[in-house]
Amino acid sequence: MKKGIVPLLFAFLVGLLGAGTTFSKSSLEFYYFNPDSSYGNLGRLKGEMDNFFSKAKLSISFQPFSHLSDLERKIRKDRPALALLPQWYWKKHGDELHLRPFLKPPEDKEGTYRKILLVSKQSDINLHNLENHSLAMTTLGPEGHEVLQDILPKELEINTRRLNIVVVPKDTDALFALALGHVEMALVSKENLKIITRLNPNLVKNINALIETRDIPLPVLCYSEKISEGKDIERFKNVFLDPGGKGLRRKIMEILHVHAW
Amino acid sequence: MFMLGRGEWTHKILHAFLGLVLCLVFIPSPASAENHVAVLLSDTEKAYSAPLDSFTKEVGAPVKIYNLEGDIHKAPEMMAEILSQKPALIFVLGAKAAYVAKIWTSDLPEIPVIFSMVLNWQKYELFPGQENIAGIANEVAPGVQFANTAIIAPATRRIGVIYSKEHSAHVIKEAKESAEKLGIDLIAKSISRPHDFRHAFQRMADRIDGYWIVADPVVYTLENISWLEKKCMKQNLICIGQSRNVATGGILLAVDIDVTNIGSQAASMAKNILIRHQSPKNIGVMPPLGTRLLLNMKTARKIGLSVSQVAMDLANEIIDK
Repeated sequence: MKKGIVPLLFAFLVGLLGAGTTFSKSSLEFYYFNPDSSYGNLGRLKGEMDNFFSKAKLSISFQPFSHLSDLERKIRKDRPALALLPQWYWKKHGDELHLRPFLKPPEDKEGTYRKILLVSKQSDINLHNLENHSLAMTTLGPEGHEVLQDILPKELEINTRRLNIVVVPKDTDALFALALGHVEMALVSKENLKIITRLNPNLVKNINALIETRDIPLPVLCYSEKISEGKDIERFKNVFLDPGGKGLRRKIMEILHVHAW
Repeated sequence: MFMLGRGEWTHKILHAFLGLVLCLVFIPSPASAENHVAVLLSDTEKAYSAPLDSFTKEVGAPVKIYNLEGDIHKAPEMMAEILSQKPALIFVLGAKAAYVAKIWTSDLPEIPVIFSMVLNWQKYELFPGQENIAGIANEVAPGVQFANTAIIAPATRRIGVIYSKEHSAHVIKEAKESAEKLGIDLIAKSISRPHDFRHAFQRMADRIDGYWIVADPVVYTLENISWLEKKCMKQNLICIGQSRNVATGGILLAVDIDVTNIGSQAASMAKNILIRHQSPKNIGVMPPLGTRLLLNMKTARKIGLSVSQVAMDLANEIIDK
Protein backbone atom coordinates (compact mmCIF):
# COMPACT_ATOMS: atom_id res chain seq x y z
CA MET A 1 0.00 0.00 0.00
CA LYS A 2 2.73 2.42 1.10
CA LYS A 3 4.86 1.49 -1.88
CA GLY A 4 2.02 2.46 -4.20
CA ILE A 5 1.62 5.94 -2.72
CA VAL A 6 4.97 7.32 -3.84
CA PRO A 7 4.56 6.75 -7.59
CA LEU A 8 0.96 7.96 -7.35
CA LEU A 9 2.06 11.15 -5.58
CA PHE A 10 4.84 11.62 -8.10
CA ALA A 11 2.38 11.16 -10.98
CA PHE A 12 0.03 13.64 -9.34
CA LEU A 13 2.76 16.25 -9.04
CA VAL A 14 3.92 15.67 -12.59
CA GLY A 15 0.31 16.01 -13.70
CA LEU A 16 0.00 19.31 -11.95
CA LEU A 17 3.20 20.49 -13.54
CA GLY A 18 1.82 19.38 -16.88
CA ALA A 19 -1.22 21.53 -16.31
CA GLY A 20 1.13 24.40 -15.69
CA THR A 21 -0.29 25.20 -12.33
CA THR A 22 1.75 23.86 -9.46
CA PHE A 23 5.43 23.44 -8.73
CA SER A 24 7.35 21.81 -5.95
CA LYS A 25 6.97 24.22 -3.05
CA SER A 26 10.19 23.52 -1.22
CA SER A 27 12.59 24.24 -4.07
CA LEU A 28 11.12 27.18 -5.93
CA GLU A 29 12.11 30.57 -4.67
CA PHE A 30 11.99 33.88 -6.47
CA TYR A 31 14.67 36.36 -5.36
CA TYR A 32 14.21 40.06 -6.01
CA PHE A 33 16.88 42.76 -5.79
CA ASN A 34 16.16 46.09 -7.44
CA PRO A 35 17.87 48.94 -5.57
CA ASP A 36 16.75 51.57 -8.08
CA SER A 37 13.06 50.85 -7.61
CA SER A 38 10.92 53.54 -6.03
CA TYR A 39 9.18 50.82 -4.07
CA GLY A 40 10.64 50.74 -0.56
CA ASN A 41 8.06 48.59 1.19
CA LEU A 42 9.47 45.15 0.53
CA GLY A 43 7.21 43.52 3.12
CA ARG A 44 4.18 44.68 1.17
CA LEU A 45 5.80 43.68 -2.11
CA LYS A 46 6.34 40.19 -0.77
CA GLY A 47 2.70 40.02 0.35
CA GLU A 48 1.45 41.09 -3.07
CA MET A 49 3.74 38.73 -4.96
CA ASP A 50 2.94 35.74 -2.74
CA ASN A 51 -0.74 36.54 -3.20
CA PHE A 52 -0.26 36.78 -6.95
CA PHE A 53 1.48 33.41 -7.13
CA SER A 54 -1.14 31.86 -4.92
CA LYS A 55 -3.95 33.11 -7.19
CA ALA A 56 -2.04 31.88 -10.24
CA LYS A 57 -1.68 28.53 -8.41
CA LEU A 58 2.08 28.70 -8.54
CA SER A 59 3.96 27.44 -5.50
CA ILE A 60 6.65 30.08 -5.60
CA SER A 61 7.95 31.89 -2.57
CA PHE A 62 8.96 35.50 -3.20
CA GLN A 63 12.00 36.82 -1.33
CA PRO A 64 12.90 40.49 -1.79
CA PHE A 65 16.29 41.91 -0.67
CA SER A 66 17.16 45.51 0.08
CA HIS A 67 20.91 44.92 0.52
CA LEU A 68 23.45 43.40 -1.78
CA SER A 69 25.22 41.63 1.10
CA ASP A 70 22.00 39.83 2.11
CA LEU A 71 21.34 38.78 -1.48
CA GLU A 72 24.93 37.58 -1.91
CA ARG A 73 24.78 35.46 1.23
CA LYS A 74 21.49 33.79 0.27
CA ILE A 75 21.89 33.42 -3.47
CA ARG A 76 25.10 31.43 -3.10
CA LYS A 77 23.72 29.23 -0.34
CA ASP A 78 20.12 28.56 -1.43
CA ARG A 79 20.06 28.84 -5.19
CA PRO A 80 16.70 30.35 -6.22
CA ALA A 81 14.72 29.05 -9.20
CA LEU A 82 13.98 32.61 -10.35
CA ALA A 83 15.54 35.98 -9.68
CA LEU A 84 14.94 39.55 -10.75
CA LEU A 85 18.33 41.23 -10.69
CA PRO A 86 20.02 44.38 -11.97
CA GLN A 87 21.72 43.85 -15.32
CA TRP A 88 25.16 44.60 -13.85
CA TYR A 89 24.72 41.86 -11.26
CA TRP A 90 23.50 39.31 -13.77
CA LYS A 91 26.35 40.14 -16.17
CA LYS A 92 28.93 39.68 -13.42
CA HIS A 93 27.55 36.63 -11.63
CA GLY A 94 25.08 35.05 -14.05
CA ASP A 95 27.46 32.36 -15.34
CA GLU A 96 28.93 31.49 -11.98
CA LEU A 97 25.44 31.14 -10.43
CA HIS A 98 24.05 29.35 -13.51
CA LEU A 99 21.42 32.04 -13.95
CA ARG A 100 20.05 32.32 -17.44
CA PRO A 101 17.88 35.18 -18.68
CA PHE A 102 14.24 34.28 -18.76
CA LEU A 103 12.69 37.60 -19.69
CA LYS A 104 14.87 40.54 -20.61
CA PRO A 105 13.63 44.06 -21.12
CA PRO A 106 13.50 45.10 -24.77
CA GLU A 107 16.59 46.91 -25.96
CA ASP A 108 14.79 50.15 -26.70
CA LYS A 109 13.72 53.18 -24.70
CA GLU A 110 10.88 51.25 -23.08
CA GLY A 111 13.27 48.68 -21.63
CA THR A 112 15.72 51.14 -20.14
CA TYR A 113 15.97 53.89 -17.56
CA ARG A 114 18.37 56.70 -16.86
CA LYS A 115 20.02 58.18 -13.83
CA ILE A 116 20.85 61.82 -13.21
CA LEU A 117 23.99 63.20 -11.62
CA LEU A 118 23.00 65.95 -9.20
CA VAL A 119 24.91 68.63 -7.34
CA SER A 120 23.94 71.40 -4.98
CA LYS A 121 23.11 74.77 -6.61
CA GLN A 122 25.70 76.41 -4.35
CA SER A 123 28.39 73.98 -5.42
CA ASP A 124 31.19 74.85 -7.85
CA ILE A 125 31.32 71.27 -9.16
CA ASN A 126 30.91 71.02 -12.90
CA LEU A 127 31.45 68.37 -15.58
CA HIS A 128 35.17 69.13 -15.68
CA ASN A 129 35.99 68.81 -11.98
CA LEU A 130 33.93 65.85 -10.75
CA GLU A 131 36.91 63.87 -9.49
CA ASN A 132 37.78 63.64 -5.78
CA HIS A 133 34.27 64.64 -4.74
CA SER A 134 31.87 62.49 -2.71
CA LEU A 135 28.99 60.82 -4.52
CA ALA A 136 26.04 59.01 -2.92
CA MET A 137 24.35 56.34 -5.02
CA THR A 138 22.72 52.92 -4.77
CA THR A 139 25.03 49.97 -5.15
CA LEU A 140 26.50 48.97 -8.49
CA GLY A 141 28.41 46.13 -6.83
CA PRO A 142 31.96 45.97 -5.41
CA GLU A 143 33.31 47.02 -8.81
CA GLY A 144 30.84 49.89 -8.98
CA HIS A 145 33.38 52.24 -10.51
CA GLU A 146 33.62 50.13 -13.64
CA VAL A 147 29.83 49.92 -14.02
CA LEU A 148 29.56 53.64 -13.41
CA GLN A 149 32.22 54.31 -16.04
CA ASP A 150 30.10 52.28 -18.50
CA ILE A 151 26.85 54.11 -17.85
CA LEU A 152 28.24 57.65 -17.86
CA PRO A 153 28.32 59.35 -21.26
CA LYS A 154 31.53 58.56 -23.14
CA GLU A 155 32.17 62.21 -23.90
CA LEU A 156 32.48 62.85 -20.18
CA GLU A 157 36.18 62.42 -19.64
CA ILE A 158 36.24 61.22 -16.09
CA ASN A 159 38.02 58.47 -14.23
CA THR A 160 35.30 57.12 -11.95
CA ARG A 161 37.97 55.51 -9.78
CA ARG A 162 38.69 58.98 -8.53
CA LEU A 163 35.17 59.55 -7.22
CA ASN A 164 34.56 59.05 -3.50
CA ILE A 165 31.49 56.88 -3.81
CA VAL A 166 29.33 56.23 -0.75
CA VAL A 167 26.76 53.47 -1.14
CA VAL A 168 23.19 54.02 0.08
CA PRO A 169 20.26 51.58 -0.02
CA LYS A 170 17.80 53.78 -1.91
CA ASP A 171 17.64 56.86 -4.11
CA THR A 172 15.85 58.99 -1.51
CA ASP A 173 18.82 58.47 0.86
CA ALA A 174 21.21 59.73 -1.84
CA LEU A 175 19.00 62.69 -2.66
CA PHE A 176 18.53 63.73 0.97
CA ALA A 177 22.28 63.34 1.65
CA LEU A 178 22.92 65.81 -1.16
CA ALA A 179 20.12 68.21 -0.22
CA LEU A 180 21.46 68.37 3.35
CA GLY A 181 25.12 68.70 2.40
CA HIS A 182 26.27 65.28 3.67
CA VAL A 183 27.74 64.50 0.23
CA GLU A 184 28.67 66.67 -2.76
CA MET A 185 26.92 64.72 -5.52
CA ALA A 186 24.12 62.17 -5.89
CA LEU A 187 23.24 59.80 -8.69
CA VAL A 188 19.55 58.90 -8.70
CA SER A 189 17.10 57.50 -11.22
CA LYS A 190 15.24 60.07 -13.30
CA GLU A 191 11.98 58.41 -12.35
CA ASN A 192 12.65 58.64 -8.61
CA LEU A 193 13.74 62.26 -8.89
CA LYS A 194 10.47 63.00 -10.67
CA ILE A 195 8.49 61.29 -7.90
CA ILE A 196 10.22 63.25 -5.11
CA THR A 197 9.87 66.53 -7.02
CA ARG A 198 6.16 65.87 -7.49
CA LEU A 199 5.69 64.98 -3.80
CA ASN A 200 7.51 68.05 -2.49
CA PRO A 201 9.44 70.46 -4.76
CA ASN A 202 11.05 72.02 -1.66
CA LEU A 203 13.25 68.95 -1.32
CA VAL A 204 14.99 69.59 -4.63
CA LYS A 205 14.87 73.38 -4.81
CA ASN A 206 18.61 73.69 -4.12
CA ILE A 207 19.68 70.92 -6.47
CA ASN A 208 20.97 71.10 -10.04
CA ALA A 209 21.12 68.31 -12.60
CA LEU A 210 24.58 68.01 -14.15
CA ILE A 211 24.22 65.19 -16.65
CA GLU A 212 22.14 62.13 -17.50
CA THR A 213 23.61 58.66 -17.78
CA ARG A 214 23.27 56.59 -20.91
CA ASP A 215 20.33 54.18 -21.13
CA ILE A 216 20.56 51.53 -18.39
CA PRO A 217 18.71 48.27 -19.09
CA LEU A 218 15.90 47.44 -16.66
CA PRO A 219 16.47 44.46 -14.33
CA VAL A 220 16.54 41.03 -15.89
CA LEU A 221 14.38 38.11 -14.79
CA CYS A 222 16.55 34.99 -14.69
CA TYR A 223 16.08 31.33 -13.90
CA SER A 224 18.51 28.85 -12.47
CA GLU A 225 19.30 26.23 -15.08
CA LYS A 226 20.34 23.91 -12.24
CA ILE A 227 16.87 23.96 -10.73
CA SER A 228 14.34 24.68 -13.44
CA GLU A 229 14.01 22.44 -16.45
CA GLY A 230 13.40 24.06 -19.80
CA LYS A 231 9.73 23.11 -19.96
CA ASP A 232 9.12 24.69 -16.55
CA ILE A 233 10.50 27.94 -17.86
CA GLU A 234 7.96 27.94 -20.66
CA ARG A 235 5.20 27.54 -18.09
CA PHE A 236 6.54 30.37 -15.97
CA LYS A 237 6.77 32.45 -19.11
CA ASN A 238 3.14 31.71 -19.91
CA VAL A 239 2.09 33.09 -16.58
CA PHE A 240 4.35 36.11 -16.85
CA LEU A 241 3.36 36.90 -20.42
CA ASP A 242 -0.29 36.09 -19.80
CA PRO A 243 -1.29 34.82 -23.22
CA GLY A 244 -4.81 34.10 -21.92
CA GLY A 245 -5.27 37.81 -21.35
CA LYS A 246 -6.26 37.50 -17.68
CA GLY A 247 -4.40 40.68 -16.84
CA LEU A 248 -1.76 38.68 -14.97
CA ARG A 249 1.11 40.17 -16.94
CA ARG A 250 -0.01 43.71 -16.35
CA LYS A 251 -0.60 42.91 -12.69
CA ILE A 252 2.82 41.35 -12.06
CA MET A 253 4.59 44.14 -13.91
CA GLU A 254 2.69 46.66 -11.83
CA ILE A 255 3.64 44.90 -8.62
CA LEU A 256 7.30 44.62 -9.61
CA HIS A 257 7.38 48.14 -11.05
CA VAL A 258 8.77 46.86 -14.33
CA HIS A 259 7.70 48.82 -17.40
CA ALA A 260 8.51 46.33 -20.12
CA TRP A 261 9.72 42.79 -20.80
CA MET B 1 81.98 9.06 14.13
CA PHE B 2 82.02 10.62 10.73
CA MET B 3 78.57 9.27 9.96
CA LEU B 4 77.32 10.54 13.34
CA GLY B 5 78.86 13.97 12.68
CA ARG B 6 77.16 14.21 9.30
CA GLY B 7 73.89 13.24 10.95
CA GLU B 8 74.29 16.05 13.45
CA TRP B 9 74.93 18.52 10.66
CA THR B 10 71.91 17.22 8.76
CA HIS B 11 69.83 17.61 11.91
CA LYS B 12 71.04 21.19 12.42
CA ILE B 13 70.39 22.12 8.79
CA LEU B 14 66.92 20.61 9.00
CA HIS B 15 66.18 22.62 12.15
CA ALA B 16 67.40 25.82 10.53
CA PHE B 17 65.29 25.11 7.46
CA LEU B 18 62.19 24.42 9.54
CA GLY B 19 62.83 27.57 11.53
CA LEU B 20 63.06 29.58 8.33
CA VAL B 21 59.83 28.04 7.03
CA LEU B 22 58.05 28.81 10.31
CA CYS B 23 59.29 32.39 10.17
CA LEU B 24 58.00 32.75 6.63
CA VAL B 25 54.61 31.33 7.64
CA PHE B 26 54.08 33.36 10.81
CA ILE B 27 55.67 36.67 9.97
CA PRO B 28 53.23 38.51 7.77
CA SER B 29 54.60 39.34 4.38
CA PRO B 30 54.67 43.03 3.51
CA ALA B 31 52.01 42.48 0.84
CA SER B 32 49.44 40.88 3.15
CA ALA B 33 50.25 43.32 5.94
CA GLU B 34 49.46 46.23 3.66
CA ASN B 35 46.27 44.80 2.26
CA HIS B 36 44.13 43.45 5.06
CA VAL B 37 41.61 45.38 7.10
CA ALA B 38 41.17 44.69 10.83
CA VAL B 39 37.70 44.78 12.34
CA LEU B 40 37.49 45.30 16.09
CA LEU B 41 34.20 44.53 17.84
CA SER B 42 33.38 45.79 21.32
CA ASP B 43 31.31 42.75 22.09
CA THR B 44 29.34 39.86 20.62
CA GLU B 45 26.33 42.05 19.91
CA LYS B 46 23.63 40.76 17.57
CA ALA B 47 23.32 44.29 16.19
CA TYR B 48 26.89 44.11 14.84
CA SER B 49 26.36 41.06 12.64
CA ALA B 50 24.58 42.77 9.70
CA PRO B 51 27.03 45.71 9.35
CA LEU B 52 29.96 43.33 9.85
CA ASP B 53 28.64 41.10 7.08
CA SER B 54 28.06 43.92 4.59
CA PHE B 55 31.43 45.52 5.41
CA THR B 56 33.28 42.22 4.92
CA LYS B 57 31.58 41.58 1.59
CA GLU B 58 32.00 45.08 0.20
CA VAL B 59 35.34 46.41 1.41
CA GLY B 60 37.24 44.54 -1.29
CA ALA B 61 40.16 43.50 0.96
CA PRO B 62 40.87 40.56 3.27
CA VAL B 63 39.31 41.12 6.69
CA LYS B 64 40.58 39.89 10.09
CA ILE B 65 38.05 40.08 12.90
CA TYR B 66 38.91 40.66 16.58
CA ASN B 67 36.46 40.80 19.48
CA LEU B 68 37.07 42.52 22.82
CA GLU B 69 34.07 40.59 24.20
CA GLY B 70 33.22 43.56 26.40
CA ASP B 71 36.48 43.22 28.30
CA ILE B 72 38.64 46.32 28.04
CA HIS B 73 41.48 44.42 29.79
CA LYS B 74 41.91 42.39 26.63
CA ALA B 75 42.78 45.55 24.73
CA PRO B 76 46.59 45.67 25.22
CA GLU B 77 47.17 42.11 24.02
CA MET B 78 44.63 42.34 21.22
CA MET B 79 45.79 45.72 19.93
CA ALA B 80 49.41 44.60 20.07
CA GLU B 81 48.44 41.66 17.86
CA ILE B 82 46.36 43.83 15.49
CA LEU B 83 49.11 46.41 15.11
CA SER B 84 51.86 43.82 14.67
CA GLN B 85 49.95 42.69 11.56
CA LYS B 86 50.09 46.25 10.19
CA PRO B 87 46.48 46.51 9.00
CA ALA B 88 45.73 48.97 6.21
CA LEU B 89 42.75 50.25 8.23
CA ILE B 90 40.79 49.40 11.38
CA PHE B 91 37.00 49.35 11.32
CA VAL B 92 35.52 49.39 14.79
CA LEU B 93 32.01 48.65 16.01
CA GLY B 94 30.94 49.90 19.42
CA ALA B 95 32.19 52.47 21.93
CA LYS B 96 34.80 50.32 23.72
CA ALA B 97 36.41 49.28 20.47
CA ALA B 98 36.40 52.88 19.22
CA TYR B 99 38.07 54.17 22.36
CA VAL B 100 40.68 51.41 22.35
CA ALA B 101 41.48 51.97 18.66
CA LYS B 102 41.85 55.70 19.24
CA ILE B 103 44.28 55.25 22.14
CA TRP B 104 46.37 52.58 20.41
CA THR B 105 46.70 54.42 17.12
CA SER B 106 47.57 57.77 18.70
CA ASP B 107 51.21 57.25 17.68
CA LEU B 108 50.33 55.54 14.41
CA PRO B 109 48.68 58.19 12.22
CA GLU B 110 49.31 56.03 9.16
CA ILE B 111 46.62 53.56 10.30
CA PRO B 112 43.18 55.00 9.59
CA VAL B 113 40.30 54.12 11.91
CA ILE B 114 36.60 54.19 11.03
CA PHE B 115 34.23 53.89 13.98
CA SER B 116 30.54 53.02 13.96
CA MET B 117 27.71 51.98 16.28
CA VAL B 118 28.87 54.39 19.00
CA LEU B 119 25.99 56.07 20.82
CA ASN B 120 26.75 59.75 21.52
CA TRP B 121 30.19 59.53 19.93
CA GLN B 122 30.90 63.12 21.01
CA LYS B 123 31.35 62.14 24.65
CA TYR B 124 34.29 59.81 23.89
CA GLU B 125 36.49 62.61 22.54
CA LEU B 126 37.63 60.49 19.64
CA PHE B 127 39.08 63.31 17.61
CA PRO B 128 41.24 65.73 19.58
CA GLY B 129 44.87 65.33 18.63
CA GLN B 130 44.27 62.66 16.02
CA GLU B 131 43.73 62.95 12.29
CA ASN B 132 43.48 59.24 11.48
CA ILE B 133 39.89 58.85 12.67
CA ALA B 134 36.64 59.03 10.73
CA GLY B 135 33.29 57.62 11.71
CA ILE B 136 29.60 57.08 11.19
CA ALA B 137 27.27 58.57 13.80
CA ASN B 138 24.67 56.37 15.35
CA GLU B 139 21.83 58.86 15.02
CA VAL B 140 19.88 59.69 11.86
CA ALA B 141 20.59 63.30 10.89
CA PRO B 142 17.73 65.65 11.90
CA GLY B 143 17.47 66.95 8.34
CA VAL B 144 16.84 63.45 7.01
CA GLN B 145 13.96 63.12 9.44
CA PHE B 146 12.48 66.41 8.22
CA ALA B 147 12.99 65.44 4.56
CA ASN B 148 11.08 62.19 5.11
CA THR B 149 8.36 64.16 6.89
CA ALA B 150 8.20 66.47 3.87
CA ILE B 151 7.42 63.45 1.67
CA ILE B 152 4.70 62.00 3.87
CA ALA B 153 3.14 65.34 4.90
CA PRO B 154 4.26 67.97 2.34
CA ALA B 155 2.19 70.73 3.95
CA THR B 156 4.31 70.64 7.12
CA ARG B 157 5.91 74.07 7.58
CA ARG B 158 6.51 74.51 11.32
CA ILE B 159 7.95 71.71 13.41
CA GLY B 160 8.28 72.00 17.16
CA VAL B 161 10.91 70.37 19.37
CA ILE B 162 11.56 70.37 23.11
CA TYR B 163 15.09 69.60 24.31
CA SER B 164 17.59 70.14 27.07
CA LYS B 165 20.58 72.42 26.45
CA GLU B 166 22.75 70.04 28.45
CA HIS B 167 22.23 67.08 26.12
CA SER B 168 21.01 68.35 22.76
CA ALA B 169 22.22 71.88 22.06
CA HIS B 170 24.47 70.66 19.19
CA VAL B 171 21.65 68.56 17.66
CA ILE B 172 19.25 71.49 17.71
CA LYS B 173 21.81 73.74 16.03
CA GLU B 174 22.24 71.20 13.22
CA ALA B 175 18.47 70.63 13.06
CA LYS B 176 17.76 74.35 12.60
CA GLU B 177 20.25 74.63 9.73
CA SER B 178 18.82 71.55 8.01
CA ALA B 179 15.20 72.62 8.49
CA GLU B 180 16.01 75.95 6.86
CA LYS B 181 17.47 74.17 3.81
CA LEU B 182 14.16 72.35 3.40
CA GLY B 183 11.96 75.41 3.89
CA ILE B 184 10.80 74.28 7.34
CA ASP B 185 10.68 76.49 10.40
CA LEU B 186 11.94 74.72 13.55
CA ILE B 187 10.48 76.05 16.77
CA ALA B 188 12.70 74.86 19.62
CA LYS B 189 12.16 75.23 23.36
CA SER B 190 14.64 74.08 25.99
CA ILE B 191 13.70 72.61 29.35
CA SER B 192 15.86 71.36 32.20
CA ARG B 193 13.49 68.96 33.99
CA PRO B 194 11.30 66.17 32.52
CA HIS B 195 8.14 67.44 34.17
CA ASP B 196 8.45 70.80 32.37
CA PHE B 197 7.73 69.01 29.09
CA ARG B 198 3.92 69.22 29.08
CA HIS B 199 3.85 72.91 29.83
CA ALA B 200 6.45 73.64 27.13
CA PHE B 201 4.52 71.57 24.60
CA GLN B 202 1.19 73.26 25.34
CA ARG B 203 2.79 76.66 24.85
CA MET B 204 3.97 75.78 21.36
CA ALA B 205 1.16 73.45 20.21
CA ASP B 206 -0.97 76.06 18.44
CA ARG B 207 2.04 77.41 16.49
CA ILE B 208 3.22 74.12 14.95
CA ASP B 209 1.87 71.55 12.52
CA GLY B 210 4.39 68.86 13.42
CA TYR B 211 6.40 67.78 16.43
CA TRP B 212 9.85 66.16 16.37
CA ILE B 213 10.87 63.87 19.23
CA VAL B 214 14.54 64.32 19.98
CA ALA B 215 16.36 61.52 21.80
CA ASP B 216 17.14 63.61 24.85
CA PRO B 217 17.12 61.94 28.30
CA VAL B 218 15.42 64.95 29.89
CA VAL B 219 12.54 64.84 27.39
CA TYR B 220 12.42 61.18 26.45
CA THR B 221 10.64 59.57 29.37
CA LEU B 222 7.91 56.96 29.04
CA GLU B 223 5.40 59.32 30.67
CA ASN B 224 6.23 62.19 28.30
CA ILE B 225 6.14 60.07 25.14
CA SER B 226 2.89 58.39 26.11
CA TRP B 227 1.31 61.79 26.91
CA LEU B 228 2.69 63.28 23.70
CA GLU B 229 1.25 60.48 21.58
CA LYS B 230 -2.25 61.18 22.90
CA LYS B 231 -1.80 64.93 22.63
CA CYS B 232 -0.65 64.78 19.00
CA MET B 233 -3.58 62.56 18.15
CA LYS B 234 -6.03 64.93 19.85
CA GLN B 235 -4.61 68.01 18.15
CA ASN B 236 -4.14 66.29 14.76
CA LEU B 237 -0.41 66.95 14.88
CA ILE B 238 2.16 65.09 12.83
CA CYS B 239 4.66 63.50 15.17
CA ILE B 240 8.11 62.29 14.12
CA GLY B 241 10.28 59.83 16.04
CA GLN B 242 13.57 58.03 15.53
CA SER B 243 12.92 54.35 16.14
CA ARG B 244 10.62 51.61 15.02
CA ASN B 245 9.27 51.32 18.58
CA VAL B 246 7.75 54.80 18.58
CA ALA B 247 6.00 54.18 15.24
CA THR B 248 4.56 50.85 16.38
CA GLY B 249 3.54 52.61 19.60
CA GLY B 250 1.36 55.08 17.69
CA ILE B 251 3.64 57.93 16.59
CA LEU B 252 2.90 58.84 12.94
CA LEU B 253 6.33 58.26 11.45
CA ALA B 254 9.83 57.26 12.38
CA VAL B 255 13.10 57.44 10.51
CA ASP B 256 15.42 54.74 11.76
CA ILE B 257 18.96 53.72 10.81
CA ASP B 258 19.36 51.04 8.15
CA VAL B 259 21.83 49.03 10.22
CA THR B 260 23.05 46.81 7.37
CA ASN B 261 23.99 49.90 5.40
CA ILE B 262 26.34 51.02 8.21
CA GLY B 263 28.70 48.29 6.96
CA SER B 264 28.24 49.30 3.30
CA GLN B 265 28.85 52.95 4.13
CA ALA B 266 31.95 52.07 6.17
CA ALA B 267 33.22 49.90 3.30
CA SER B 268 32.73 52.84 0.91
CA MET B 269 34.60 55.15 3.29
CA ALA B 270 37.41 52.60 3.73
CA LYS B 271 37.84 52.30 -0.05
CA ASN B 272 37.86 56.08 -0.39
CA ILE B 273 40.64 56.27 2.22
CA LEU B 274 42.72 53.31 1.00
CA ILE B 275 42.33 53.56 -2.76
CA ARG B 276 41.57 57.20 -3.39
CA HIS B 277 43.61 58.53 -0.46
CA GLN B 278 40.80 60.60 0.99
CA SER B 279 41.92 61.79 4.41
CA PRO B 280 39.95 60.51 7.44
CA LYS B 281 40.14 64.02 8.86
CA ASN B 282 38.35 65.41 5.79
CA ILE B 283 35.65 62.74 6.04
CA GLY B 284 35.07 63.37 9.76
CA VAL B 285 31.88 61.89 11.15
CA MET B 286 29.20 61.22 8.56
CA PRO B 287 25.59 60.65 9.53
CA PRO B 288 24.31 57.17 8.70
CA LEU B 289 23.10 57.74 5.13
CA GLY B 290 20.95 54.62 4.85
CA THR B 291 17.61 55.00 6.59
CA ARG B 292 14.30 53.20 7.01
CA LEU B 293 11.06 55.14 6.90
CA LEU B 294 8.24 53.68 8.99
CA LEU B 295 4.72 55.04 8.68
CA ASN B 296 1.81 54.35 11.00
CA MET B 297 -1.26 54.55 8.75
CA LYS B 298 -3.67 53.95 11.59
CA THR B 299 -2.41 57.16 13.20
CA ALA B 300 -2.47 58.95 9.83
CA ARG B 301 -6.19 58.18 9.50
CA LYS B 302 -6.88 59.21 13.08
CA ILE B 303 -5.32 62.64 12.62
CA GLY B 304 -6.97 63.05 9.21
CA LEU B 305 -3.72 62.99 7.22
CA SER B 306 -4.13 61.85 3.66
CA VAL B 307 -0.98 60.12 2.41
CA SER B 308 -0.63 59.55 -1.32
CA GLN B 309 0.01 56.02 -2.57
CA VAL B 310 3.30 57.13 -4.13
CA ALA B 311 4.51 58.45 -0.76
CA MET B 312 3.35 55.26 0.95
CA ASP B 313 5.32 53.21 -1.57
CA LEU B 314 8.50 55.03 -0.55
CA ALA B 315 8.09 53.95 3.08
CA ASN B 316 10.01 50.85 4.09
CA GLU B 317 7.29 49.69 6.43
CA ILE B 318 3.64 50.53 6.88
CA ILE B 319 2.19 49.87 10.32
CA ASP B 320 -1.56 49.41 10.14
CA LYS B 321 -2.55 47.38 13.19
